[in-house]
Amino acid sequence: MFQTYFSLDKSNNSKIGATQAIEGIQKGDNSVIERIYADFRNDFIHWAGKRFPFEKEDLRDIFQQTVCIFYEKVVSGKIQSLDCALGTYLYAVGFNGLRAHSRKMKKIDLVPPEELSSLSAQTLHESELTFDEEEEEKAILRKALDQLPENCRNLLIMAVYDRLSNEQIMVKMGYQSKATVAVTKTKCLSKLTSIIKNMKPPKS
Amino acid sequence: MKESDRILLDKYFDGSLSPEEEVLFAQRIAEDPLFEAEVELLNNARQAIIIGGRDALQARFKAIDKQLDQKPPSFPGRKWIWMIVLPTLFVFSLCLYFFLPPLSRQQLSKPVQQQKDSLGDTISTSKPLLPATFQDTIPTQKEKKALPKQVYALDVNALMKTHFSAYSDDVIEGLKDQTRSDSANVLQTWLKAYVARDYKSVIANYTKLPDKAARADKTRVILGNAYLVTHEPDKVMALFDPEAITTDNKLATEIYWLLGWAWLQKGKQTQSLAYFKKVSEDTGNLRQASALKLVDTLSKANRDASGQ
Repeated sequence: MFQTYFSLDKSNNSKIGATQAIEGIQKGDNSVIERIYADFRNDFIHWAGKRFPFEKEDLRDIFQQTVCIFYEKVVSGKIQSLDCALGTYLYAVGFNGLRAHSRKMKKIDLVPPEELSSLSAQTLHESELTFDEEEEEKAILRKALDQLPENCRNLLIMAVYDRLSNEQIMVKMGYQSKATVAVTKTKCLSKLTSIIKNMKPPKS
Repeated sequence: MKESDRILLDKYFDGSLSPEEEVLFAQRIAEDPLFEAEVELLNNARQAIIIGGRDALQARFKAIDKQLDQKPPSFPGRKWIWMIVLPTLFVFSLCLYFFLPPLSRQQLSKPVQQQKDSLGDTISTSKPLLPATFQDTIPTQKEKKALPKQVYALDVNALMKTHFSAYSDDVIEGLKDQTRSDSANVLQTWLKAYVARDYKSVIANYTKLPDKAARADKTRVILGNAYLVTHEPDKVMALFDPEAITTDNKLATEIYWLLGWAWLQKGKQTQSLAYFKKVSEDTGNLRQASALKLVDTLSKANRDASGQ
């Protein structure tokens, strides 16, 4: 996987273009998204680091989310082509992520301690609960997916997140037919829903 | 669960509901809480898979981070600068090596102490190159007897000094061009001997000079000067064919000046006067004033001699 990236890097020093990137993702080529990340990561961190006083780790996380957004938009068909360079698009999306992160940080910094002390114990408890609920929901879902066998998990990710066709999944995972892929997918989904059903407390 | 509901839910999950099925789907949610709960479960499952997909993608990015952070930091934006600067420096170095005159190259490679004695450095100084040369040219007792007293009434020393100073600047500066040839070292050694007033070496080593350099008028003028200093006027005259000297020869005045002095050393005032007249007629040359004085003095001496 990474050998593919570095071999690409050695053979072609220029950054990947938008058309090449979109076509590669649409074909289900895993190495393309890795190359996009590797090609633009340092430049983005360098550029963003001059404009926002964030830690390098934060900048890296924001760029990872940026590339994820680009990937999801391409696989969902929302992006078929770009009018600008790929780098420009990523910087624009990343800039929104940076601003959102900046607002979040300011909110944290701007809440004065006296205001916090004036809040009632019940309000604080409720807000904590809301925050915890969101995180808890995510944690449960993450845990539920982790309980699936690896093959099942990978198949579902390919089908839902990567939006690969049954035929593409068949080739990638070595199934004998598309029908087998469809049946396995239904079984895996059924397993996942039953795990979630068992893990999540019933609504009152 | 009914089979029709199962198909509806599968199509919903795949995102392939037709408009009619979408209406039916909304209807089923509204009327059946169990169906609604199944839909919510499917939505949760989808959300779980998307979270898992993002986690998997970010794990791949983190692995790339490790690989990239192990590599030395690169500055992609500045690579092109080095791609221009390094070849330019290389080409500049080559140009310096091939186009810098060998003399300058030698100077550059020499320590500072040695540079003081080098030809180029000496030329650039404002001191007279040959401060003692005129003393060497003071006529012998025999020559003195042959020359009229009026000639000695002239400031011979000053005349010769002017001659050598101008000579140094014009001729040797011009000769520096020739040191760019392959035989630079031989010619340079020869010139050094001249600057060091080692006239015997100048005369002895003239034959070792490359043909091209030896034939050059500038070189022969230097040799003629050496002969003059060593009181060998015949050899000065043998160097130059007066009839072959054309008016467009840039060194014609220099040669006439040398021949004038050579004839004077031989005590032949008439011939000497003829050459000094030619020098005096060349307006603008450094020796014109001196030549006019000599012409005047020699003419008077001739008149006196003929009157007697």
